[in-house]
Amino acid sequence: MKKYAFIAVACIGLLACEKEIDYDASGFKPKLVVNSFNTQDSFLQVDLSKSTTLLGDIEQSTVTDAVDIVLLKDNRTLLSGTLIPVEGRIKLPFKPTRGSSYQLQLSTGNLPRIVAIDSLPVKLPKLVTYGVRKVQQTNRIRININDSMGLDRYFLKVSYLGKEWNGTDSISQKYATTFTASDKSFISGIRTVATGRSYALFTDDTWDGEQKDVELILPQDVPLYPNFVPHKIVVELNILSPTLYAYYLDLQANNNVYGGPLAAVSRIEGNVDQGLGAFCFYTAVILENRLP
Amino acid sequence: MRRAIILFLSFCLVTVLLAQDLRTETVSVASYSGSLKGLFNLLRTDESPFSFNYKEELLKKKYISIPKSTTLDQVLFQIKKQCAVDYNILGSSITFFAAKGFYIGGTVVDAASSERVPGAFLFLGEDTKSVSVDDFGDFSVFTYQDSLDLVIYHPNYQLTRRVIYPQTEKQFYIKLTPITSLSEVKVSSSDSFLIGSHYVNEIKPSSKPLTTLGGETDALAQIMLIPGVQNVSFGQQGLTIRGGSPDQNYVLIDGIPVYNTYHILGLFSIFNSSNISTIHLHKDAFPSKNTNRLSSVIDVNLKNGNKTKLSGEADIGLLSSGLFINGPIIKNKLSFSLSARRTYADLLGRLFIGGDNSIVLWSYDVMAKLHYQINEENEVSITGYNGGDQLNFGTRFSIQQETETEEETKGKLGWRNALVGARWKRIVNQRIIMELSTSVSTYNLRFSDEYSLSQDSISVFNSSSYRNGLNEWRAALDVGFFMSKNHKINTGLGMVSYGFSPFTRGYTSTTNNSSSTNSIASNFISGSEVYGFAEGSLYFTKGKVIYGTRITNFITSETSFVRLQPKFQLIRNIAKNKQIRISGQRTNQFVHLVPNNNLGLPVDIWLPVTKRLKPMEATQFSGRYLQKNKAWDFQVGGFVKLFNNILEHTAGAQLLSDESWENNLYVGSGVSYGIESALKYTWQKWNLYGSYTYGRSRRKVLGINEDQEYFTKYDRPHIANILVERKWEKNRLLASWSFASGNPITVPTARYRTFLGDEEIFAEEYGDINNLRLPSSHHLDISYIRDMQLKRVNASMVLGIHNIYNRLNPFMAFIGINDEGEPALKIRSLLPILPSFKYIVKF
Repeated sequence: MKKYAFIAVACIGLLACEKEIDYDASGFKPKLVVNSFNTQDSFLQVDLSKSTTLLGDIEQSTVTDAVDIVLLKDNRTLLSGTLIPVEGRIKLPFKPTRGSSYQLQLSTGNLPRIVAIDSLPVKLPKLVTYGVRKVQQTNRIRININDSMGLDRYFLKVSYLGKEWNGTDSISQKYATTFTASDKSFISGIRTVATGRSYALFTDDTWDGEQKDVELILPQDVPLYPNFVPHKIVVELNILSPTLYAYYLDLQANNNVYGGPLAAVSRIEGNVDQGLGAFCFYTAVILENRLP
Repeated sequence: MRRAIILFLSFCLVTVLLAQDLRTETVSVASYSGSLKGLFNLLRTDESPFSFNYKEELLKKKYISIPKSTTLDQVLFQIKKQCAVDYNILGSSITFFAAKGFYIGGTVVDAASSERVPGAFLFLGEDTKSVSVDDFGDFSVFTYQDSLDLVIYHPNYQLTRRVIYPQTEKQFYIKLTPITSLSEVKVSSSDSFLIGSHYVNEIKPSSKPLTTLGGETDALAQIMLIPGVQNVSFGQQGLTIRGGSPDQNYVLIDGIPVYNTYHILGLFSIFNSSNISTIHLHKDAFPSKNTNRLSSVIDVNLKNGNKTKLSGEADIGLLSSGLFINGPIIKNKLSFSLSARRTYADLLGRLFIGGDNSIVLWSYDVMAKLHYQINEENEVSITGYNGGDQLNFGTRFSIQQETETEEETKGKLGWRNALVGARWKRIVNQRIIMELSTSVSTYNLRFSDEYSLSQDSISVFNSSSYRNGLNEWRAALDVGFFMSKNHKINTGLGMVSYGFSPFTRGYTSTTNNSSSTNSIASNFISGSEVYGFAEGSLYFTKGKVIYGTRITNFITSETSFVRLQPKFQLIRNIAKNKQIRISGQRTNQFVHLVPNNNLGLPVDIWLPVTKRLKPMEATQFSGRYLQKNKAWDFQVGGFVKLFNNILEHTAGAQLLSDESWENNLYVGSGVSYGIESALKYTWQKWNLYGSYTYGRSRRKVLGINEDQEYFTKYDRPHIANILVERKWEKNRLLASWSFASGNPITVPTARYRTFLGDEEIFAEEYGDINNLRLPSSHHLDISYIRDMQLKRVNASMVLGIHNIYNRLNPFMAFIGINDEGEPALKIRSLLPILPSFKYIVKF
């Protein structure tokens, strides 16, 4: 009761009120959006869509028209031709190799022709996981990251693998889960502390060349999916290309607030010239651990 | 012998009687304006019963203007006053010689507390000249008169008259009695008219502190009603003055810079008005000593403390509680003043929300001053300030099953201002005043995050931290002296040493068996500033000219800049109650604020100029017309301000942790211009004040907005304020209405879907900068202040309502859903209709 009373008092003081205002979208020019995040041992894949007006319907923005595509690896042409995306997705029969540079050129319809370049990192992340233990309402898993010399940009994400039940039927599913970590070098900002995230974005600048033991603390359930029964914890550690790391940082800083002190200073740049999104690479290690 | 003495005395008596006769001799001079020699020729007719003796050189270049005179005495008085020519009357002979002048100095103090009284005016007897007292209650005057009939006027004090004799008294104290303690004593209407016709001063919205949100008596609330001044935007912190950014305001506490001036996103300033003696806003021509910001100088002076008895006040309100206490340590010599204030939303939070999870937000400020009046010539003061905001959050978890486990997380985010300074003021003689000062000021922001676990014999402690800040140390010697009776010079030298720490990140991990600590820090940036300044005030019959310059050498490890900052101001009375002011000034700024939100909160980082980022520069020309009548004051003016080397930041700026922060800033130019007006009308118990500003602010920066000119985010064309104040004997009612056009913000032109790992993100593409103007902001606040006399103490109660018609003023914009379920651009507002309350006990 006291809690509600306080919330009521706080609401009087800092009540947030909303009001619709006019917005003029006359200056809008659509651009091609590329979402292509590739790792070693997986075929290259490019998702294509178009940008919409600020208040437009993003769901209807998938590109389905024919696309002229050129793909270069280390400045040598791998592919040049016209392809038709399936539900906005183009799959290319090439697996990226570590240390190689790739250039993607695309054009479709009246949209400006885009060019994007990135390289797959040489290093593979070194990750070891230890057993999972249950502590009250949490699952805890200890991991070890063995960092090599030189600046590395890491991305850690944690998921539950399990079965989602629909009556008597079940399908195998994987859902990302929020987690916290005892290790504070994962925490890059107050926003990361205050809100649960299913990933951690960090560099090794304070522990270059050392090993790091971290305990990850996960909720036992995935609240959004009450019929989901997890069986395993999947820990994925990536080493990101510098371009991808910068793109993720920009996305992380973006809070969709405009004006006022909380508006994001940074804007999302990506690496797609004349377009939007990112064509980027990372190396990955994925480890699974059965729940007790 | 006795006979000789009697004869001598008789001769003296006859001489005096003759002189007395001569003084009352009627002379027929119509109003005259011309050379002194011409006047002598006019007076020296064949019928004249007197003769003149003088040296011809005495009359050279001496001019006089006299009204119609009836007696010789009146003519001689004007000759002495205007031409500095004194006289002796011996029989029928008048001998003229160069008059001996006197510099006199003094201090105006409160009779009850001995606290200095700034803002008083001195009227020098029959002389129409008035002298204003400075911020420390001090004044200096030059006179040729043997006696001066001084009238001292201050709106809050009883009119005081005192006769002084400059030949014998050189330095003296004038004690004023507050009107509030003498309920029957009022400045009569005829006196106030007389005084009102003698001086013209800038309009102050109110003679008493104004209340703001929560009933706080905020010392900066008055400043925000002055034309050309506004909040950055509703609910945000910082003042923007004439289209400049908040970091372009140089805020000083007793001459010591303070770098963050607001609490809790700008809800109220750090200046608790109970301990403030004066606040001066300079936005036209800054004092030459302080031309190192582009928009304004806000000079805040603390009270010295009551030198006769202990007094103070305590208050309790919705947002905060505070205490102000001041009194003598050594009676009439050494006094102190101390104020402390703290918000207590966190305490209420703890009261209502117990348990293991907590989020608390609080702010505090402490201001203190020691003042030692060693003797009439020497005084020493020490000023200190410490304040800040703090946000803490944490979780705690413990179980006792087979093993005892305790786990705790803590997060802390806070900023602090701290400063301390000492000042020694010495009146060397009536012509020279010297002041030596030194100070240290720091601004720090710190964020930390801790995790601890103890489980039987296992113990883990991990923490990370981030901090940034700056510190500055300064020393200065200022000297003020009279070059001549009408020419005063203030000059000085100073040195400032800066240390900037853009960011430091640390990481600690401790277990039973091992411990490791790592940290990464940006390069510590040091800088120093050496300056000299000279500012002259040249008084003439109808006004004064202030001219001056500051020369600054700012040095960093990689570069050095020398800048000259000249200033000119003319204040000219065009009639007894009308005045014009014209000024021009160039200012430079060597440190600037870089915004950053990597932490997800607005964070200030102060950084110096570099080889690529040259000192920002502003050249301002302004003019103003002021008129003061019996009941109303009016002023109107305009300004043009040209900016150079202005800094802007743009896309992808990871300023907080990126060593290449410099490359994220772009350099450009800009212009601000506007018209400002204010009107104050006092009628019986009513005080009505209104101000209106039309102002624009534009920038052109290479690399931003495709190199095209754009309106800055501080561009708000129309700003208006109205204050209505009604006073009763023990009550006061205040109604304040503020209006400001919406400021431009940058909204995206397009949206698209992308991914951060598996997380779907709606990202935006941006086009022109500041491409959407928000709706205008306005709100009406009403306060009722009741003074009460309790058994042993006096008390005041403040009741109020903020934003009485619940205007939804924009705080930020975002994409939401409208009533039809379609995406819509929406604004979110803070601070709707809010009650305010404060109870103040004075003892």
